Amino acid sequence: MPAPFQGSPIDKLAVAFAVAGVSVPHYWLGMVLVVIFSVQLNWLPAMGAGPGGSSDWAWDAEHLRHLILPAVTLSVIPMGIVTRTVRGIVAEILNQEFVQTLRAKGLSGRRVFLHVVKNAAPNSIAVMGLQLGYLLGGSILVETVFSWPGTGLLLNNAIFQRDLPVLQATILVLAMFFVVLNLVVDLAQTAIDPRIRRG
Amino acid sequence: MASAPPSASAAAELAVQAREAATRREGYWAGVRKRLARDPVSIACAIVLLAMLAAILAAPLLAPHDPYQGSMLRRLRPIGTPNHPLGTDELGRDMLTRLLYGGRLSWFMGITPVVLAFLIGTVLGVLAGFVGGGVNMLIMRATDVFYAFPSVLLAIAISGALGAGTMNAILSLTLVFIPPIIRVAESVTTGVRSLDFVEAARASGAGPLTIIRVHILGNVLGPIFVYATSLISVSMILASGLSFLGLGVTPPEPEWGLMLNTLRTAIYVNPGVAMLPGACIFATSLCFNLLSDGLRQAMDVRA
Repeated sequence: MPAPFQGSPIDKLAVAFAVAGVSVPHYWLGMVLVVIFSVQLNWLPAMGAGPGGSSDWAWDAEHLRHLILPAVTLSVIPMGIVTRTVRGIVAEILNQEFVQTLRAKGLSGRRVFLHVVKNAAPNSIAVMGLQLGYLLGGSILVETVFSWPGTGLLLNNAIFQRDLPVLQATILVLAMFFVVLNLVVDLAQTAIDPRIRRG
Repeated sequence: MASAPPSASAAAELAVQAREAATRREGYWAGVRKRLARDPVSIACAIVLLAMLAAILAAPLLAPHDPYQGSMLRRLRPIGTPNHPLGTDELGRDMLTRLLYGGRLSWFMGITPVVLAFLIGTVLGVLAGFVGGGVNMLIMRATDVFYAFPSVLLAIAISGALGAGTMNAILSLTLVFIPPIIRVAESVTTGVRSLDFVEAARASGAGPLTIIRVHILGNVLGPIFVYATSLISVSMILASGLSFLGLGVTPPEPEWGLMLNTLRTAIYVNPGVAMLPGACIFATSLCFNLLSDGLRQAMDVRA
């Protein structure tokens, strides 16, 4: 998001974070976080989804505590990708003439920013939607690290136990979610940006 | 006769222009190299990667111990132990040695899929973009099928179906990387195909093979190559990730992802040593990413 500050320290910091986020092996990052926050500091649980596992989920403090580390670990790669792409999209929009016109008309920086956000939204949402889809499959490694009882761990166990029906079903369900998600992203894009409406 | 001197000078002028044009054609790559050399980040990454490559290639010379020789007495020594500068793993094998040898497999498994996918994807993508029509339809719809799955899931599913093994992991990663490269190659080729100089070449009698070789590939390879280099870091992470899950390299072979998995249980005893293989993956993938970014800027390719 930091494109308006192009070249400034904020921009450089964000870009550095983004590159590191894209390059980090997230299963390793999970282990590092466990070492720091569970082993050394003893603040957060190292694995599992809390009492009762997947059968007894509730939105209370104990379960949410178990969610923190896996969620942070998984968010790093999408964060990097989204930062990089949105930065590119915003930089492109800032180069367009209508931004100059808005500035020339005397609009304040904040009003111009609103226009830019509106124009950057459709493509940015598409990227974020794709990342959500990536998380459906990418979580398998992180779920293994944290022994999180989700589809990823199910899939992993199914592979090693040669449980083909479970394997097929899991992949089918995930692929279905992925396709539906892509459809939703497309529809959201058309809803936001009337220019994309199909003729 | 009176027009002879000016035409001679015009000829000389033309010759100069031709020579300038000829040197300018070389100048593109020289310019890319110069721009790349001026970028401190790219240079630093290139040096780190080259040093790493040299170290893993010279592993038999540099490694102080046997990568498979374990000892129950020397298990999980911390970093800085005399005779074992980076400690030992859960079976008492020297970490430095195993990291050096492990890098060979990690690099091989990370880079090979991208190279293979680059070759196959470029051929199919350029074919689809250049021929168009039914061929384009066939190739592009076939790649669309692969887009119905998240890429990580696809790699894991294919590896899981094929079973563990280095070659199976490489095969599955290659299959995962071919579709995006086809998409990039197809879209660039379609863009170039309709440009005037291709039309001019066709009008002057060049065959389709010549046009593809000279006019299309010359303009298309750069962007595809840059895109492929950006895939290397993803590929390294995924390849090690497959080994981490137990779907890639099989023990006792040293590989960074697999080492990370077997050392996972040691994070309570000796976290420093357990983190090392992952740090190697991170450093390599970060350098490849930054180098790819530098290359993209130096070659002025749009994302």
